[in-house]
Amino acid sequence: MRVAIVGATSDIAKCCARQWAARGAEFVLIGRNESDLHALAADLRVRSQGRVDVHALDLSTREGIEASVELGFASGPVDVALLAFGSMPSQAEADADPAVAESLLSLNGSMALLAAHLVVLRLLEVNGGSLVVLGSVAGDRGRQSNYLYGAAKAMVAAGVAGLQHRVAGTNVQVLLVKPGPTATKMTRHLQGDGPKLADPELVAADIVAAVAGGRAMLYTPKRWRYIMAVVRSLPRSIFHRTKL
Amino acid sequence: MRIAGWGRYPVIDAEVIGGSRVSDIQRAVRAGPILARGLGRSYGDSSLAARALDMTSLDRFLEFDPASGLLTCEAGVSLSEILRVFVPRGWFPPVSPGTRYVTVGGAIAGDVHGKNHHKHGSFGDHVERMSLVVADGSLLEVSRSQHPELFHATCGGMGLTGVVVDATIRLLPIESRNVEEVVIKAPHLSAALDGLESNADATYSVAWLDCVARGQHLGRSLVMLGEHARDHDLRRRRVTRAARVPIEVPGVALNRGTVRAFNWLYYERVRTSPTRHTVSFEPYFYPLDGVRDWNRLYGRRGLMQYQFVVPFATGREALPELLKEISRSGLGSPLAVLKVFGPGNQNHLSFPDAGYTVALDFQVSRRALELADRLDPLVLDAGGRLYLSKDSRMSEDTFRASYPRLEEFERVRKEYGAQGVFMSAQSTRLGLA
Repeated sequence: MRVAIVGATSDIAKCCARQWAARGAEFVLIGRNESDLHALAADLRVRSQGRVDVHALDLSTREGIEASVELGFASGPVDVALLAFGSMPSQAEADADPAVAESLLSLNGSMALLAAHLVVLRLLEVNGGSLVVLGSVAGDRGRQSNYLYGAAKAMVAAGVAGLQHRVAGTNVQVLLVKPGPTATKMTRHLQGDGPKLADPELVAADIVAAVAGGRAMLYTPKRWRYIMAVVRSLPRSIFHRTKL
Repeated sequence: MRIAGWGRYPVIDAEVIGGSRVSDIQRAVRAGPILARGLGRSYGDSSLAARALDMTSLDRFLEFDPASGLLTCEAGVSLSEILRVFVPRGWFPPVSPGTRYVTVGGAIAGDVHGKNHHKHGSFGDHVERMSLVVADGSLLEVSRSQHPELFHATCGGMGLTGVVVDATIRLLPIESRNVEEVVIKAPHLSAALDGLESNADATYSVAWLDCVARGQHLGRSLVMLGEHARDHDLRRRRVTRAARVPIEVPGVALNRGTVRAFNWLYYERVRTSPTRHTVSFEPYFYPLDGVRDWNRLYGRRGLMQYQFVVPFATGREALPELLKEISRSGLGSPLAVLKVFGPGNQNHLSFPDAGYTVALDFQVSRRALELADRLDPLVLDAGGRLYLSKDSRMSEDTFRASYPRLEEFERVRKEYGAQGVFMSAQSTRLGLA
């Protein structure tokens, strides 16, 4: 089993990779920070006893995304491609600097969808393999606290729906994952004494199972499917009175 | 953020700083007084500090050599993760404390012991080397040959010398995930001690002790011996999700009557002695890990553990006195444990030393604290001491009187600039600089 991950050092990706490593997977890891990638690669080599390649790239440009997909597929057919890169600056940072808002929209939206699109073209060439895209429950309805991030994730969700339509009837799987708020590096500023965020290991276990099960959509933890059904259907008059 | 040890007593307000890179740790250390914290399984205040460094994101394996069993990993890797990855390959942690939810860094800091102490020593005895971020933020390679004094201060040093960021430990080869257990009934204390001492060649040995039994039953125990099985069963098991204690149980649930009833049932449940059976390693080594958040059974005020060791020379006389005092108090727990330790090691603040150790849980209360204050002089008179990883209440005088290498420890801390930088609520309470 060969797994290519873009944004490999994200906590959810790391936990997924460890579970695949336990099954002896080989890896191509792509991300921004070279030393973080090498540290993860060493960890996965111990766990899987298999080959792990590493490429550090800037994922904020079209060239970087193209190179990522190229390198991800360079060492042979890919069974699972996981797109897990992204950023989540706070709404306040985005308010203060339009450049932050722009890069947030671009990285989480355009670049993520571009990568998904290029990966699916590759998978269709060999008529096999799985693409896993990390979306977010934030894409289900724009909320005052993170609508820029949510909008980018909504764009990815619409694009993935199109890709799923495109691969229908082939052996290619496209899975959109919508994790609820998860306790990761990206959300450290949200953690504290408040409600407990989801454990990335349990989120990863759900993702690995959904890939194996050939699913198209996954809310994880599962309760978010119902929470978001309610959030989506709240009338505006009530929704606007919440602080969400 | 409010943080506490496993006993949930005491609780303090802390700034919790995290990071997944060594450079994050170095930056945090340079910024002011701090203490590394792993999974928070020490019972009292030894992992508490106003600035706490959450080490659990430094959780990567770095290297494993299947020829020697040497594993190098970051300090935030838990024993649970080591078991998950390495048991199917035929390797086991060299020392297992009562829970697998401890980090390698925490196991080094507490120089933790397990049921094989009499044969294999404590965790630090299986550490080949480590990388330590010291007070000025630099990274030192520390082993028995490089900075040896710092090595012996750091193993068992409760995080007060620096931050362990990675370590190399020697894993134990096993042929099976199972353990062959023998349970022997010991109707009173000296039978229990004889049972443990006459089975010194068993790899693992421990006794569950009925600390409410009195009179001729004083010290009634089940002696449990164990060996790694040789049935070649290393298969991965489906992980069953642990049962949970969802809420704090009202404090009255553990009273004299329920503990007495539980202990009687626990002892009488074993019909024949000795009883032999084969069990999976999880229930054998980590029985309480099967119940998540079991500390909540002790109610809102939390739980304290009292663990002491007394030397062989005085132990046979001191133990009955200690047990009588405990039994008389009417307090006491269903979770008392008795074990024979082998010789201690060179580490300055390491707890285990040749003799008998007993660990007891109490619900935190004024009466329990008073009982502990009455037990302290009995332990000291016998030449014993208390385990820092369990302690939340001993006095500075008790500590100074019972840890003879304390001055050496403080001298090494001073030499490496650790004083005033690496401090815990416990170290402050115990008067360390």
